[in-house]
Amino acid sequence: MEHFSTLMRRNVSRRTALRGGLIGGLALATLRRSVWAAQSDLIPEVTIDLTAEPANLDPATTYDRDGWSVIHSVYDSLVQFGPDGEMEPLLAESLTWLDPQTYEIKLRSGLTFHNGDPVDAAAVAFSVAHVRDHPASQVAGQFAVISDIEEVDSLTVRLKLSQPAPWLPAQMAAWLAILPPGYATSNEALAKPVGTGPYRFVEWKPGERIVLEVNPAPLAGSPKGQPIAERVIVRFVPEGSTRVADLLSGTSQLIRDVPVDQVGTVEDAGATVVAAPISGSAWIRIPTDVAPFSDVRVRQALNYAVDVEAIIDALLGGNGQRLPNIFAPGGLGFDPSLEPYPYDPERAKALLAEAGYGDGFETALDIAASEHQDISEAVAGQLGEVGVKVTVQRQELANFNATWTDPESAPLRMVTWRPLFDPYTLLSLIFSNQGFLSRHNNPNAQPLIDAFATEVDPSKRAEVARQLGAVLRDEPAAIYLYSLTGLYGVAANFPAWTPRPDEYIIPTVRG
Amino acid sequence: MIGRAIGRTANPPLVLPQPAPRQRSPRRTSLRSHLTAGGAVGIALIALLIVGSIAGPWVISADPDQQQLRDRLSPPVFAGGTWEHPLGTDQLGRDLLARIVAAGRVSLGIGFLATAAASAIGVALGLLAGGMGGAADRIVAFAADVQQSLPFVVVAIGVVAVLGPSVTNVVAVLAITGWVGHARIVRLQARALRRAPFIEAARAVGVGPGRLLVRHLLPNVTGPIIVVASQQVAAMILYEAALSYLGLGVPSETITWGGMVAAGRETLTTAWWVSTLPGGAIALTILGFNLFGDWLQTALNPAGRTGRLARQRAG
Amino acid sequence: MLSLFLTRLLTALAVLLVVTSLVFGLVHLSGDPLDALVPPGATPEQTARMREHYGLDRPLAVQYGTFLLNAIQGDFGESWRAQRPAMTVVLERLPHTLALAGSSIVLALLIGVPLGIVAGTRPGGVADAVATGIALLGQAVPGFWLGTLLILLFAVRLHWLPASGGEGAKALILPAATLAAYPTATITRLLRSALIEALSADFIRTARAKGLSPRTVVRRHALPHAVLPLLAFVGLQAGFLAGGAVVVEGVFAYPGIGLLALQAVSSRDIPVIQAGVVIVATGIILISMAVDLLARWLDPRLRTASIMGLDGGAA
Repeated sequence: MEHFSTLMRRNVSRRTALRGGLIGGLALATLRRSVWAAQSDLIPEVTIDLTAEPANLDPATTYDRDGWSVIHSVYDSLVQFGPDGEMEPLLAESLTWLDPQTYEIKLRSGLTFHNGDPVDAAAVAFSVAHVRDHPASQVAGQFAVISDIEEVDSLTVRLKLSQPAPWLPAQMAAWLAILPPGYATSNEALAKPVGTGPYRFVEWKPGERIVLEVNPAPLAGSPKGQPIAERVIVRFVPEGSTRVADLLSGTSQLIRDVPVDQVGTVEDAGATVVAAPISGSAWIRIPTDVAPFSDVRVRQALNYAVDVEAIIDALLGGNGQRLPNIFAPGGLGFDPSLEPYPYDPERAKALLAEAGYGDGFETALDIAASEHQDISEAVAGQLGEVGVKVTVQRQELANFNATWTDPESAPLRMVTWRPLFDPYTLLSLIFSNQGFLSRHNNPNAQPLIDAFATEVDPSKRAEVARQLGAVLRDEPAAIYLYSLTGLYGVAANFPAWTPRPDEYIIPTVRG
Repeated sequence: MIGRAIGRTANPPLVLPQPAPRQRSPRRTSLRSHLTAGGAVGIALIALLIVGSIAGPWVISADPDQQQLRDRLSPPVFAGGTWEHPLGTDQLGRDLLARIVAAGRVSLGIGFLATAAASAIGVALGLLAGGMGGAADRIVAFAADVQQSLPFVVVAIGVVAVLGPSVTNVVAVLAITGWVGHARIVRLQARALRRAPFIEAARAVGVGPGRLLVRHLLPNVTGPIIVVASQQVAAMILYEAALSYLGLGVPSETITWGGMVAAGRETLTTAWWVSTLPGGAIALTILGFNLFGDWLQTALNPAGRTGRLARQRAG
Repeated sequence: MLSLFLTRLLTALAVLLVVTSLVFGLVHLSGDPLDALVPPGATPEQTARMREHYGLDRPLAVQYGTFLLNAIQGDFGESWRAQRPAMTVVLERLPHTLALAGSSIVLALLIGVPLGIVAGTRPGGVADAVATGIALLGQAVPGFWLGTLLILLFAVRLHWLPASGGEGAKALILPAATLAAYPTATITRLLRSALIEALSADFIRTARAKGLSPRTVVRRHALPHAVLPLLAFVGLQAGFLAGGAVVVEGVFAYPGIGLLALQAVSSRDIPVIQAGVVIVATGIILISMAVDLLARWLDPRLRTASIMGLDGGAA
């Protein structure tokens, strides 16, 4: 909570006190606690505009935040991350490391799926095997470390790991939904998901809507919170202005990603914009394997040259905080006492001159076509001020993802990464010298990255992350930008609802 | 085959004059004597846009890429802004006037280049089909069928993904989509000429018909081709806008009107000028080329003026 | 007639064959399709497993051959993303696409034809200027910009119509109107010039001289002259719309084939791309055949093979 309060204070100071009270939705939830306490207070129907329609609702093959919004509404994981970044048991009663390579999961007793089947060890074993072994699994890599799945009794499962993996619980929170055994073995099961979550699946009209209805017996005391509506209609609207129009014309009551420049429009019309922190960060990857970036002074100069505060103010509506490294507030490794780089173009020029680039140099910056290009263009403009001429290139997403390590591709690339409760995936892929997406090799950082991957003692692991954060700050691996914020548009009469730091929209409210 | 802008055909079937045997009468004079108000406005607009785009950067001192985040979204001078930015600024505080002028070069350039390329492909294939007939004709007709059945978005994404986003590749994508209209005109004329007695005679005395064909053909198809092209330039500029909207346009450092409209659309409610003003430039361009094309079509069509068509058809 | 029909059918099959192989080639040229399918940073084992799962480990020729063999039997495979039959994924969007394309064409005709008649029968007058002006305006703005404006007016300001979605007739109005703007303009201008040309022809003068009312002259003699080019344009336009209107579908979150095609191409979902391409191309071929039948019925003397293709009676 500590880290988020910094961000929330920022926001409050930028808006009226009234609006500030709504920020994060958490304050709102607390205020209206009595309203949602009883099931009878459910509103009859809520329509939500998400951005992109998922291809399917199989947890193994869906990788986007909108697909997972629906998945997490219908299914539950064993654990989840709460608003303060703490791990909270969900379907699991307890999770214990028996030894560094054995993880024991004990389920709550008496749980059933929407169809009445029991939630038992067999279901957990099936679900783990499903995401690990499905040939088209998008998350197989995250679970490949599990070498053996053992059902100890009807409510206990032991996972044997091929190597110590202290980061596994975080992967389970993010990417493991518990399915009834036999799921996804037939097209019928795929088309009609059955889970344990706060909502039951009703229908999916492709291209139009997914309809959910409230689970009449939602998990009591679920850290996900309690359902807020009898019926939920999820729509998929790619264009930001159109989502805002849906909200203002009454078609939808909750929309994702309000364009920053339309926040005023939404609020003038009587609706609310909720700005909620997301466990994620934005930065521009700088490779260390090629001149001039192999010189640490150049990487530092780039960080001094970018006026992140101005970008946050102008282009993000003041939402987000400047970060000293890649770690996100609320996640492992984030150190609030670590100072971000100040904006100091003179210092940047001096460092460039010291490194032998007093006249600057030319380079290129890739962004995925799906990202907003404003930020990259602003950064490029500011780098231009210190003599570094940057060409911003939009890449089709498939191309962007295929060229991370391509020496022919642009050295700089804009990245927004989420979730970052446990930054293991990010570090192992992009910043470890062994990483599949890595053009980063720093002998001072590498031992810490390795230790972070294997250290089983939680407090030692946190300390390793903190040290790594300090190294990455002083010997930059990126131009560090800001922490991510979700901007949700909410209709005036909308009941209390809790936005989540993992950015999934689940129509529930936490007590 | 994308969108309203792309969902239309780039090969509008036009009511064109039936190509008549070359007339010796000086066409230039007849065009000038029939300059209508619409035609004049069209020509004036096109001239203004071209001159503005070419000369603009020397007249306007502001740098189109200079950002001033604190000055972002400041309104044009007629909507409460200052003369520092006569047309206001965009979302990064860049001078809109300077950007619109700079973008004009690229947008008009893409429009002209893509049309010229489409025209060149169309004329070549039309000549081949109409001049040689037989198998060549059938192959070109088949290619036209294929082109019209090919989903444009697949071509666009394919080309951009293969070759990367660049002005050249956008021009290439657009050119592929626009050649059929040109080929149609040239083929029809070439086929008629191929059977003309003087070509037969030339062939009989051993002169290659190729050169004759070209010499007699081009004067007759120039008018109709210009009519098709004038409408196509406008369509190409709209296509480019649609590609920009889909993120498949030119690289973002290259400013185009379409790209500006697309990038500014999210501020339409709070800062209308960011996308509306470049949109206005597109509208003026299209208006200019359409007026010009309409006038040219009527002026080049002797039947439309004198009622000679029926006689010619009868003859 | 029968032999012509058979020729058309064979040509259509050949077009389908070429279009699918072109698309297949383009998708594979644009990089390894697996790049879009594996998560970033997948292990080599994971990548290999997925490559085998999707059959991408086989030679290209074998992949395409398998696709063809299965497609002939009506099996387009499973969508790689939706994990449902690819043809089902495409066909469930078809009613929406047909509704959108159909209603925008009807709308364009309903507005464009009267405007064109008004403008064409009294060229140079005030009515002509107004009608032509409306037509030019509709043609002059990018579709996504017009669509956003319509949403702001009719959904946000007036609350008359929904801004997005594909449910019910009300949701169809705004996207159809946005899509109709361009063809409306073309129809108006097409009809106008056709009428001007026809009305100045000799046979019309004869009819007038015989004392027929101007109304009858336009209806009986001038309009039929304009019908064929109009028909050819509507056919082409409908064909293009059948391929989907990606931009408009994106703006209005309309569940048509265009948006699906865009998603399928960006995620390299080859079975869905191919099924979509086959459906779209088939649609265009069917429309073209229907238009030709209609044209032949209207004008039995017509000798061209296809008025939408290269033969284009329209040009």
